[in-house]
Amino acid sequence: MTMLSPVAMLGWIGAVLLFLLALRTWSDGRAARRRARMGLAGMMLAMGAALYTHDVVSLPEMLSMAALGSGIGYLIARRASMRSAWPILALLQAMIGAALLLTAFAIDGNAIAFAILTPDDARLTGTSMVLLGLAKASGAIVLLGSLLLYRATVGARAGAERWLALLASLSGLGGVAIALLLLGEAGLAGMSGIVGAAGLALGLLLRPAKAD
Amino acid sequence: MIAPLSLLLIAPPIIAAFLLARAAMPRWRPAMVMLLCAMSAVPLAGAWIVAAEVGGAGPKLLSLSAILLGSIALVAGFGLVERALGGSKDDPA
Repeated sequence: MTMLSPVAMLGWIGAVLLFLLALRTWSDGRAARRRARMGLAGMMLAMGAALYTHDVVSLPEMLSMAALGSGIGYLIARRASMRSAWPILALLQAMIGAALLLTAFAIDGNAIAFAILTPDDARLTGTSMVLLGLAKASGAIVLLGSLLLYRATVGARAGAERWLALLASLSGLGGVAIALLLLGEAGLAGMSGIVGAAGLALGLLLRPAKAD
Repeated sequence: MIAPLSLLLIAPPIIAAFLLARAAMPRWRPAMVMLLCAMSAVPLAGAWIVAAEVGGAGPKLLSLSAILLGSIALVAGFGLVERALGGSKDDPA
């Protein structure tokens, strides 16, 4: 196992704590907004920790893609009607599923870079094969499920929360598989696990919509 | 792979998250689902790591596309949560 630097370790611990604080009891609107911002801060800290621990050779391309994506995301968030928030969230969840799938295929396409091959570098180890399959399956289910949910929620919100919570949980599970594939990324596994567990809890709590 | 000790360390936060989400007040559950949708962009951090480490044009392109899609979902997701909770000055509360 690679030894994490103290700075990176603090970053991951901070990110996990911020994610947990974001889920702490929401008493009123102000507290809810504060908690949501903690979630965002946790994500930013996780990205920083992820970049800090790796030798980045293509930083300009990565930052360009992140800036372009952030710009498009900002426009969506600013211009979208709040009445169509649930269908938009379903589409955003589909994007997360696609991102998960693409990440898994990128790992598969250059497996030698991630020390997940057998000692003779001939093929994936059994565990890696299972984890990669899990990441791909989660990504594909989230992508397809979210697109189906988008179709179902256009014009009607019934039951969207429950399914979105369960799809978010599955994204978390896929994130855990990706984190376990990447050498020593326990922080990322913890954060993805938090999303997976919270999504599962909310998905089980929210009742399915009754047909009128 | 992650050592079993690390797996033991990540178990408590995961259990805590399950219990915290279960304890959410019913009126805040839909908003919490919105936040969770935004937070589920966390595999984006994985995409950053993969893009940083991977070699070859094809895998690099795949990981950069993942960063693009994940960034859209992350920013739009948190932006929608902010608006839904009345935090944006442009929206009526």
